[in-house]
Amino acid sequence: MPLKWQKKIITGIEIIEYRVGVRMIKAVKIADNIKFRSKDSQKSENKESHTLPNNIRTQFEQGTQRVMSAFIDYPAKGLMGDINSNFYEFLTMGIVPYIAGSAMFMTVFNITKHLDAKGHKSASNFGKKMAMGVILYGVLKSLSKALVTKPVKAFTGVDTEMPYQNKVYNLPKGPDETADFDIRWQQRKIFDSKEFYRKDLLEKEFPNKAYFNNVAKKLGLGENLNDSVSETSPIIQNIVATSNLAKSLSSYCWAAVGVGMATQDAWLDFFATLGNKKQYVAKEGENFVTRVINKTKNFTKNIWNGSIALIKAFGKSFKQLWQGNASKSGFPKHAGKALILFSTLVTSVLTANTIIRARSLAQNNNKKTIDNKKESIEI
Amino acid sequence: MAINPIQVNINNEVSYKKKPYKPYLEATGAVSTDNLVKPLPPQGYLIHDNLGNSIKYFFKDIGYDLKAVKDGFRGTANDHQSGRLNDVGLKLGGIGIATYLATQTTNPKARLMEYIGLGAFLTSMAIFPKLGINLPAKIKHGFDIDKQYVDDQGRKKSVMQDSNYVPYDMYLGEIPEEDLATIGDRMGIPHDIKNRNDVIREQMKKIATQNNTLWMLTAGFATPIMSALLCCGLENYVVGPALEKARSTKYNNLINSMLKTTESMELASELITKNNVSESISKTLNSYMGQELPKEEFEMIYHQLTENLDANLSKSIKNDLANILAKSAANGTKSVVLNGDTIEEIINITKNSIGKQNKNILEKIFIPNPEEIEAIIKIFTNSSDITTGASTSVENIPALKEKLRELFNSRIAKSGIPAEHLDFVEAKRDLIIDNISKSLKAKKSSFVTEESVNEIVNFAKIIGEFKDNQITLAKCKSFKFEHAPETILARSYDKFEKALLKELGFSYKELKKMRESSSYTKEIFDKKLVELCKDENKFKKVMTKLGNIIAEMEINLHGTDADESFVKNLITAIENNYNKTALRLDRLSASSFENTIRALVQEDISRLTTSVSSKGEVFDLLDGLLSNKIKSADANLEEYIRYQSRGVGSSKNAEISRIFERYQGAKNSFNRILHTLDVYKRATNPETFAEVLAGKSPEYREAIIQKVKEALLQATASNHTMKLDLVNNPLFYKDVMNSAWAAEAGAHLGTKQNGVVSEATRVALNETKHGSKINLLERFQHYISKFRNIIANSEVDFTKPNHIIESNVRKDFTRAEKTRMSFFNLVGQTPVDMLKGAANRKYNTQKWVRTVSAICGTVFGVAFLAQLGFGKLKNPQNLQKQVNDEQN
Repeated sequence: MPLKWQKKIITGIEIIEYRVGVRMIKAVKIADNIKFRSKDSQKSENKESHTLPNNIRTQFEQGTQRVMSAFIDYPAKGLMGDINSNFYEFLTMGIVPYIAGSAMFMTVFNITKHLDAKGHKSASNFGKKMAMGVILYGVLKSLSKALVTKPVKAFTGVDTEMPYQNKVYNLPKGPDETADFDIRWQQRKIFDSKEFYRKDLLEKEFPNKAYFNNVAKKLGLGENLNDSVSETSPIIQNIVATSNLAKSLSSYCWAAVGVGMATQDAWLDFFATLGNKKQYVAKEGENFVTRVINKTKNFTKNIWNGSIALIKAFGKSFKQLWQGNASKSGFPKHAGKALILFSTLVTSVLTANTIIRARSLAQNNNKKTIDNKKESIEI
Repeated sequence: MAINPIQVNINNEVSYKKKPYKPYLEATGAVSTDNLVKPLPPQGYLIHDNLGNSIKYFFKDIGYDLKAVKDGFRGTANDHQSGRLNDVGLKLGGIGIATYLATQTTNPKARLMEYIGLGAFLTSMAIFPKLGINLPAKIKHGFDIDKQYVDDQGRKKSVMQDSNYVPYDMYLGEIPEEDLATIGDRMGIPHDIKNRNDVIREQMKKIATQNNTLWMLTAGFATPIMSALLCCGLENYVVGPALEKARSTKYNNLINSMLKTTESMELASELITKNNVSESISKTLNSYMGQELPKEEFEMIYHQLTENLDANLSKSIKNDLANILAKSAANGTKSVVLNGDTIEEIINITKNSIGKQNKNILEKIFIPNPEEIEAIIKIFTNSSDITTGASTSVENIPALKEKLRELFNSRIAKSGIPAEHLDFVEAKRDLIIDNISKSLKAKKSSFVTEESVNEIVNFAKIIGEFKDNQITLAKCKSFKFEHAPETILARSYDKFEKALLKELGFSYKELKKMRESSSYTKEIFDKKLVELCKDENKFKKVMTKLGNIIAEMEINLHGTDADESFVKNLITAIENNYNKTALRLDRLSASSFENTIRALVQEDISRLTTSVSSKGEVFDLLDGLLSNKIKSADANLEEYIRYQSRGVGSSKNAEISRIFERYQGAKNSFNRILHTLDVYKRATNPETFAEVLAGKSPEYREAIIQKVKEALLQATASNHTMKLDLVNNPLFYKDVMNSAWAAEAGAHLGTKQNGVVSEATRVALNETKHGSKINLLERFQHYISKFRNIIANSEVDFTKPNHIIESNVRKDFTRAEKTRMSFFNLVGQTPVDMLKGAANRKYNTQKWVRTVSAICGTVFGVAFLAQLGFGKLKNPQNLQKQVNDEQN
């Protein structure tokens, strides 16, 4: 028996084939209704905007919801000119050109291998490497953000990627339409905006200003502050701005490293392993159950071999990128090293800038003449 | 300045366009607001769409982004600036990728294209929405959906991007597309409804939302495809020609400067400047002064000296180096190592030489005590300390052998061997001594003395400068002639084959079949040629076009000057380099550097400038028509009189021959195509095809013409060597060669005979733009005769007497023109081969362009068609009902 939300997705996709009308919009909204449980509210379904724990499960669930909505739900609403197709939906749809463009690049790079029979092998290898480059570009771009956010969280207590689910209501579409009371969920991050970060949610989810007290402690402002919110808020905003710069610049540098890795020959071994995977052939006299078991075993083995090959190729290509081609000399030989070192430099300098600037702002605060621990007005 | 929140009693100065109808409020006589309080005009403003603004804001945006980075670093960046940082990161990452990928290739065009590809990608990202979305939307709906505005804080944003916040107050109606009422007219919204402007705004927002969604859906497909097409166009039509021109200028200047450098090379070794190699060798040698140079150090010095030199020269340098060091210990005679290690060696050799027979006895007799050997060694060695660097002249070896013989004799006498075995023992003794002597002679000493250091360091200085010059000259030579991408010969070949394909006119399907089959290529080529030759004008046009390409190649190689030629300068510079180096070494010490000098120049230090004066002679040299290198005995050549003009086998000769070989291979392939066209033209009139065939029967003539066509289209060098498979029909062969490669009547003999060409060809080649500058027609005619003279008269393999047309003419050509290599280069590439390769390349390109263009067209088509479905008024009947209600 499929889960309720799975059922809704299936029906939703069928309904898209119906003719256009208000009915379609109502049925396709199922994607928005996928709810994720936060740690605090596992028993009752939380009907208000709430934070989520920043772990892999949340990232996966939020990512899936955003991608599915971006491909199914939001384009349908947008193409109809729906009044509820707002800026958030427009920004979320930004993932569509990213994925479609990656697929398109991989296609364009691989067209040439079909042209010339003689050059097929080398064109094919080139096309595969470039396709790998597209994938590694995205992978390293996402993974490298952690190089900034984790140290910043450790030293300042602010997790700039802290996710939350935002509740919004839809507007009625016209003067005669009934109000839509269903909740729409948006997958966002608390610190998406520097100027208007969700202070209210932080105060609600972490009562007695626990969050801000923790930040104040980590920054060195001290404990038992009278008003940690107003003390730390400007510093938090500063951290958001500097870490945005760090993430923006360093993630693209590491993406470039990813492309450099993809051009190394270590990936040819990986493609060879993929090409050599064994198909399962049923032996004589095997019954159905044995066949299924053996097929599963074969499949698992292929997955295992493939994963090992992938990890090996990843490490080896990084090493090859670092070492460079022995037959070259001068800058071409050391270009890979230069790229990796440049990315490391950018990441470390900008992350250090975030942490050090936050701490020095905190220190400046401490130098104020007003004693933070006392009431500001004494009558 | 105090800000007044309201403006009181201002007259309505805003230019009010006269509308053909009365707006609603005025129509029903509502209250006039002309003299009342109004809100202040907005401080933000819309950016008008024109070219000046585009350029201005392009630079302003760059400044804004840089400020965003600065503020981001400080932590004071606002949300808008943080959004722009993503673009900055994208560009930074893109430059990193382009730089890295550029270092992984040596092809100069590919390197440049990496950066241009990045630019094309960013341009496509910016242009696609403008072309594919905004333009059709504007044509249909009458307003710009991507209008930009600058808000009161100076931030540039898009008006319609955020549907929850659209600053309509900036639409002041300054131009028709910013006037809400005009936009509403275009949308078909009735004039007489309440809140018409609200309806217009709602509709604008709806259209903008629809178009933004369409943009998100199509951008991913369009951007990579557009950048691919853009790169393709730029690479072939912009970057390729521009890069060729730039590199041409660079290398021509380099050739001239190298000519000056090599001309001014001084012969006296004191005047030669030091270089890295000589410094390093000097340091190494000085640290071993007065000692034996270890083998590893010798190897290292040798490698340093001969890095990047050819094998022949390297071997000679190594021999010379070893000889210098070997002779240094004994003042000019060779020395061998004779030190403490030799003792053990002698003992080992003795042991090994004794053999198994009577081993014990013989060992007792012959194996000497180390002290005895040491005593002998000390007599002959040149150093008191025999632990390491000690040696002796080879002239001392016989004396040393005598001493050893004395030693062994005394031991034999002491041992008390019976007389009948004495012969055997003495033979053994001689064997041992010979072995010892051989082994000693093999170990050449490398003793380092002051003189040898001087000599070697000067050697290094000379060779170092030679190498530096040679590397630069090799780059120039490579750019003009080498078999590599983007060289002049490669690009000319590319243009030639493309022109040939285009002029003959092949369809896409024909190209596909041609690339798969040589026989089909020959068939269709034959057909097209026959067709072409029927049309006189078209034939001339094709010949002129091909002639232009050849002329262009020659000008790129030689330059445009009437007398100077860059190729001549290049060859002269190479010759100077080799000749002067040889002379320098000769002056330093003719005996020490004998091997190197011979490897460099053999015995030829003549120079091109003394034998080739005009540009015409340079052409003859390249075409292989010049007979001798030295034209006349010049009094200034006195220094060179010791040497004769024979340089075959030297590195210099190999280096320069490469130029001629590469040039002739390419040029003769072009000539062959021209000749094929010409012969087909002549064959349209079989009666006047050739003089030698006058009086022969039409069938015979036809057979000859068929054979000629086949030979021209498909005969390789081996076919010609085998006399076109006419081994048993030599007279037929003679007629074939004399008719196709006919000689002009009354032409003088020698290497510069004129071949027969048709009148149409003559006219066409004279009409080329620069043909006269490079003697295009004349050289083509010389080629035709040379072909016959060399190829038809070759005497290799199964040649019968009648296979040889004119035996004396071949003698006039130089030795170099009669080698197998030059035979091969004279025959050139077969036209069928050239056409098949060209068809393959063109087909691939066309297929790629068709596939990618189809995808691009589809995406644009979808985007255009989608516009037709946008902007539909929802419930227009309600609006009309409102109008009707109001009217009633």
